[in-house]
Amino acid sequence: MIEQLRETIAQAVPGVTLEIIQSTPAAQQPALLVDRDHAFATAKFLKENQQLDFCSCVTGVDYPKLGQIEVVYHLYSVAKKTGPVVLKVRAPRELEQCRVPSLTPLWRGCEFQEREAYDLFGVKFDGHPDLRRILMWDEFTDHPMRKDYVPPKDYEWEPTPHDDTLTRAVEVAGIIPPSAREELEKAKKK
Amino acid sequence: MIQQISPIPTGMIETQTIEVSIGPQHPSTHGVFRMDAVLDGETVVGLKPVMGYLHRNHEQLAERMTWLASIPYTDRLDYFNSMTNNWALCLSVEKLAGIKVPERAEYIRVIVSELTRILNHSCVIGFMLQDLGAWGTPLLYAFREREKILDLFESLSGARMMCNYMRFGGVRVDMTDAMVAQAKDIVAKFPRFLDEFEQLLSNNEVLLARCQKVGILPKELAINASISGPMARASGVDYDIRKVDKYGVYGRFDFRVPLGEVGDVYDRYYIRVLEMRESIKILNQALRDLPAGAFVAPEVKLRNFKIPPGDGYGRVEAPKGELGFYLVSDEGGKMPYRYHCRPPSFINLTTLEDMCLGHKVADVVIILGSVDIVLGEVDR
Amino acid sequence: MGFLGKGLFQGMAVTARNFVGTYFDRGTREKLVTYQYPEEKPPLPENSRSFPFLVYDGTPDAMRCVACKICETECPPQCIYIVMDRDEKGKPQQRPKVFDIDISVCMQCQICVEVCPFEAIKMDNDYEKSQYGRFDDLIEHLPDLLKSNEYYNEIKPTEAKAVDAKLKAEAEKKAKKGTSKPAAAAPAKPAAPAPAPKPATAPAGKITIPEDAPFTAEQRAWLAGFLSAGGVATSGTGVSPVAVAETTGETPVPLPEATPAAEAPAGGWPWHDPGLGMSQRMDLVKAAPLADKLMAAMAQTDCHACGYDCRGYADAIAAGSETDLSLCLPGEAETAKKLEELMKEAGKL
Repeated sequence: MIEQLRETIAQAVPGVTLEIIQSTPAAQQPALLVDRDHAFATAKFLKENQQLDFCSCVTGVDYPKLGQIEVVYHLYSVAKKTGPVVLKVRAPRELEQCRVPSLTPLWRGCEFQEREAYDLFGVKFDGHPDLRRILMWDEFTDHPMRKDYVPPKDYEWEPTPHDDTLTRAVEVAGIIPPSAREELEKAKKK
Repeated sequence: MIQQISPIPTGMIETQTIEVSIGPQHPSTHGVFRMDAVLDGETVVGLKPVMGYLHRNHEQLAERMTWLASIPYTDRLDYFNSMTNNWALCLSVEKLAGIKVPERAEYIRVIVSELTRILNHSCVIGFMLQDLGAWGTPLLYAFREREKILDLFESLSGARMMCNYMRFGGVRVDMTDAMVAQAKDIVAKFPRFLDEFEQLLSNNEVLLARCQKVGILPKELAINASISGPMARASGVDYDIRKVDKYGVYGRFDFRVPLGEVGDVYDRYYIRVLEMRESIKILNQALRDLPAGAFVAPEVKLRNFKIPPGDGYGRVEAPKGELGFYLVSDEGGKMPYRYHCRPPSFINLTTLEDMCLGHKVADVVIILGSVDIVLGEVDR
Repeated sequence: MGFLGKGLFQGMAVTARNFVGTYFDRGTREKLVTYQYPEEKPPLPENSRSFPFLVYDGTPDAMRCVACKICETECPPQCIYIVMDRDEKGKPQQRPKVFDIDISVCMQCQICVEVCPFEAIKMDNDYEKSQYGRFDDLIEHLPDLLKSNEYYNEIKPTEAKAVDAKLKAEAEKKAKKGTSKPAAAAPAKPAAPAPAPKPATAPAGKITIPEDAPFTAEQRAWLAGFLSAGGVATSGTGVSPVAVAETTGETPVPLPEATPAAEAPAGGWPWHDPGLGMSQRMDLVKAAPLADKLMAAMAQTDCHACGYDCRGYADAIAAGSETDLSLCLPGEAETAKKLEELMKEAGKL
């Protein structure tokens, strides 16, 4: 079915490159990876010709290994009660080049979710009417959901008796940055 | 003296718009939520929702712990409906891993979710009336009934609100016969309360005057803006995930999807009353048909639970709308590589400005009340 | 239809009915659901949960917890902190020295209870835990956490009974297995002489607790029960359990190919005894195949923290299906180091 859709899109949107990405074997939700330049045209075609009028979920995924950030759209059809069609767009991770076309002009529902993706991943959506941070405060400079994000030193940090556990958790997950760890060591010596 | 001041003809004085920040610490915002309103006199000419005060990066927390450890954190998303939140995560994980849930567990899930829906809707109506100025009475009546459901949840799951009840492949503890009887008792008595509640509210002239033709959301906009749940159905969008996806065992129950005509605040109030009545129907069928058997899939491991690499999206019809989880698993599979929660109340706020424009400030409060948000979910 | 204000009057009738109704609602709690809390406490259902506690049988020394650290690893907010008790020689004592729960962090999710393979940690229903201090007062230490099995039976009768029955059945099963073995069934006899610096005066029978181990009589009795319940038959193999000084696991014998070890030999695996130190266990497997060596490096608690029992984890590593060598939580860094060492010796790393 996804093959069929791919053919239809390829005919309707000239020059588009489409790739099918498989989900987990059980989930059965294969996705269409669209190149950035034709993403808007593809989405427009899907909305107008395939009656995918409900853009349910928009989010980003960071793939440092690929050097890319992926924006995932889950499209459903309220009229036909079908879905989801998963649309993926990829952009380089570097902040300046990390731009994808915004689909907010097509689906208002993307408005807040694209703002969230911009806030947490640093993806700039070209054509978004109001691209501001939404969850983090305006003065915040980083994008916390990127995999290489290092949280700043926790200024509210206080020594607790289970610091050792936390340090161990840190070693597994890398939650507390080295600076805070130094302080931990100091507190332990005391 | 007074007569000497001549009345000012309209159009002579240039009026200024005034910016008012409603919230973040205001009882009508249901939490730490702010609305930057631009007012012309008392009329709203612009309104921007500002959120993030309760942001704790639930998604990042979940990406640093096992699949199992995220379940108690979902309780804290929409703290009124921990059961449906649990279900949304479990359903998504089961979808990714291809786990089959035993019949009994599916029925128990339906029972607790529908009870949650009743609990949420009655309280939302209470809160909305509180915003209208009906101090306490409807809210406390709703809380009184909610208490009975919470008592059942406590005897079932151990906690009243942070239930942490569902597990991948089923539920954590079985529902005993005593609990089933308790649930049947609640379900049997609830319609009477609902009649009383309606008698108290539905024809109340003050409520009608304040709610009708206020905050109208057109059907096309509701679909386009991804509005889901009772809010979309009040605008006439025939879309209920229980009917569309038929997840769990919802395909076996006979119930209808109530739809609104106008899409105003009153419709959003009344749609919830009707949905409670449909939930009672589902509950009656589920409690009648509750099969015996296992309540959790035995092959699912509690620890070292792994998911094959790939992604997937699962969603349920939570009382507030479509609650979905987009999950990505990588090679290790022990922890989520990406864990995204699609919160209904966050996305339902998209059209808040459209609904408020041209109304008075006092109406903004009830329009927000009728959207039904919980800030734990909006900000995550 | 009616006159304007009819809806208002209807509503008032409802409030009046409810107001009057509360006076006729004595005991049914249909209309009056409020409890006058400090004076009157609501009855708690059996499943109700607040914070975890540790169960002991009989005396507080006989706690069920073996410090396997599964709960510490699985705890979502990381509020549990465990240090395993060791004697002066560094031998693990199968009990926690420190067990702290930070109840200001604990979110009462019950995951520690679900993952515990020893039924050692359970949920309390005491919710009155407010303290004046913000930090140390909110840490529950081992003495605060330990509560008797009788208490557990009192607060959660159904659940506790099921747990007791399960533990009893397990113990019986293991005891039965133990008696079927000739070695274990043999009458009490002193342990065979050993090439150890100290004379071996280990207690008779299948229990091998060194005489010099720092146990009280009660602990000793409990440990004896524990070991026998574990089906650990170590006598009759001619090996003393007494610590052998400074003989690290040096293996002069060339290592055979890693073959997943078969069924347990009739006498059980002599090194599968959590009371032994690492060096003792390694001594016992000097000439054994790799899988046995790997198994001997583990903590021998069969806690399933790694997802296997000790045998299974060793076999999985030897067969190459498991590559993570740091899964043995009770063995801590010692086991991980030893496993790495063994794998390097075998040329597999």
